Amino acid sequence: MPVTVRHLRHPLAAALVTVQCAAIVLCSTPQVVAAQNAQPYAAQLSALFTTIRAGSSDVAGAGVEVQQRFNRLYATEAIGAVSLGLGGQYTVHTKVQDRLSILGIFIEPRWVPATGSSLLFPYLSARLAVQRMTGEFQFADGGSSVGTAFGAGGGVAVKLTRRINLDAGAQLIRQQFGNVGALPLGARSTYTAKIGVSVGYPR
Amino acid sequence: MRTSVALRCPDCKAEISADLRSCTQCGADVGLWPESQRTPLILPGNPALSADVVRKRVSVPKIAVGTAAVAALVGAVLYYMPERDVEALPPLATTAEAVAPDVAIRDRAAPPVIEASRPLPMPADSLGSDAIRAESLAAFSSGDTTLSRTIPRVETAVRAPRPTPAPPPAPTPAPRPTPARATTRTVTTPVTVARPAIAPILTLTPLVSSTLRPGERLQLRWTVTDRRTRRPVTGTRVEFTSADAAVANVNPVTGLVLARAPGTARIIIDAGTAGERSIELMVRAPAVAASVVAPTPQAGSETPRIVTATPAPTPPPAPTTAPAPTAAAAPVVRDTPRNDLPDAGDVRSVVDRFLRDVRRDAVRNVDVTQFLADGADHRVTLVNGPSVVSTTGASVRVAFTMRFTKFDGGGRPISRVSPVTMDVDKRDGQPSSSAVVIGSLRRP
Repeated sequence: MPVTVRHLRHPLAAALVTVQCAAIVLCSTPQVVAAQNAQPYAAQLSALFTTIRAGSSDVAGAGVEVQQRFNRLYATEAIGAVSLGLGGQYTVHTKVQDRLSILGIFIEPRWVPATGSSLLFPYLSARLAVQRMTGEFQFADGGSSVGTAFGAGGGVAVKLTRRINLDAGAQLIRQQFGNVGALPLGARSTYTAKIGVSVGYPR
Repeated sequence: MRTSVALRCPDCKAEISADLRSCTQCGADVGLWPESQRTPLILPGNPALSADVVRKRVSVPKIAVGTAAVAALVGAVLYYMPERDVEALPPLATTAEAVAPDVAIRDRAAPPVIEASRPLPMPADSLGSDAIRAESLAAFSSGDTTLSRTIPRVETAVRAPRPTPAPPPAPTPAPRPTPARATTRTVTTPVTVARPAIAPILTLTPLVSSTLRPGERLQLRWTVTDRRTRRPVTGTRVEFTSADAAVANVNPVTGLVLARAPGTARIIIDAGTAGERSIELMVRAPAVAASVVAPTPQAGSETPRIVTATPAPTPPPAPTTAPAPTAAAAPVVRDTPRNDLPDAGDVRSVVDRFLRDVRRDAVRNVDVTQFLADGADHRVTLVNGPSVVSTTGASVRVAFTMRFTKFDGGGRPISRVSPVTMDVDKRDGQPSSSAVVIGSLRRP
């Protein structure tokens, strides 16, 4: 009997690998013997890795995140810099032929403390997001649910060029969703990790 | 694990009862799948996962981490892989021949065998020793080719036939007896020739000002860095030479320049394989118009105040006794333009122009260049001054403090200050600066 099944092959995997390879190649270039940037604004594109707690196990997923950062929110030489990012995220979590996708918008404040390094910039960050989870299941009803997520974490930005930073960070996230079709979800704690590049502008 | 679900036909999506084996709408056989599979597979404990789950466990995070690790490994290999600098590697045979004309490589295949036929600078009986160090062969220890290995043992030492002495000319005295150690021998020994290293690069620290006055000193600064890693290389001998020591001489080792007389002198910096550089220094004549400026530094004043300018004092009368006729005491009379006295506006204009140059990174100072090379929104402002420190002839020496600010790569504001002193004079109505000294950048 024919069964219509959506064949999922992690469409973002190639993009993630490309971003990582490009970032690492940039890092390995000796000429280039700087997240946020020196410029007032920055656009950041990151690969995002998250988990969703389903039942008693975690379902990993990957996706992308784009955000616009405002770097001059508050900055002093003694305290450091506080910036704010606004952006969107999209991740896909699959298991066999079941698929969960999360699309959301978020705000992410950051604090880069004053350190002696001009190459590495560790930071603390928080995140508040509104997300919509959509589930498609092979043998059960799908559905969607709108929920919230908030959390905190940290990371480090590495200066690659005068305008480009490599940014890597992780956060512990508390998510709250209703049932997604046949999948019961509640308040769960998960984690997210990301790596990407941010480009500051204007010059 | 069972979840309360509304069962639907996978084909027509019609709602069906769990007891039915076939869809009432399209007739599809719904009972083909076990009942337990009618729950989301994403939930744990579903028996339908089985082998598929194991296969899918090799998931995106693992692929990403593995890819990142491989990419990091490739990047590290690329970074630390020795650079192939063909131009810096002369051919081995050419190098060997350039080292000594009587040394030739017999076989170019490894290991090269070098045959030397020349009087060895060692006693003949030392050939029987167990080891001969390459440094003992003078011809081997110079040039770009480095013989870094100890020659393990002399394999063959063939005594060459004594050269037939030429008949001496009749009136010449008796020839000297040839010492035993000067015996010509042909020594064939395997020598491992190390691959020459890539030549480093000599870099001169740019000068803030290439103009000096007689008696002033200038310390040249330089770095010898690895061509590939850009890291400093220690142990490289650098030699300084002045093309005109009468104008400016330089310490051949320390690079300290002493300006002696007006003119132009070229300082040559030779770092051997690291390269050779040269800079041109101009020694300006001391002011002949001896105008006297009386500085009156005032607390809190941001502009120099030049109060009076008295006429030049009359030169001292000629000595009644003739001076000693020494060459060193003979003055060099040169035609120099007459200087005017710079006023406060001239000083300020010179300082403003200097600040503009600093903002454009045109002063070629290492600290300033490093500061401006990173970050964004660089600003260079005047903190205090300029204030007159002293007067020399027709020029005034002023001091002020610059403030550098920027945002670094983390978005944090960075501020540094630097003291500056410079001589300001006025030639042909145009104020100009010389002997600019920029202090190191420090936290305010």
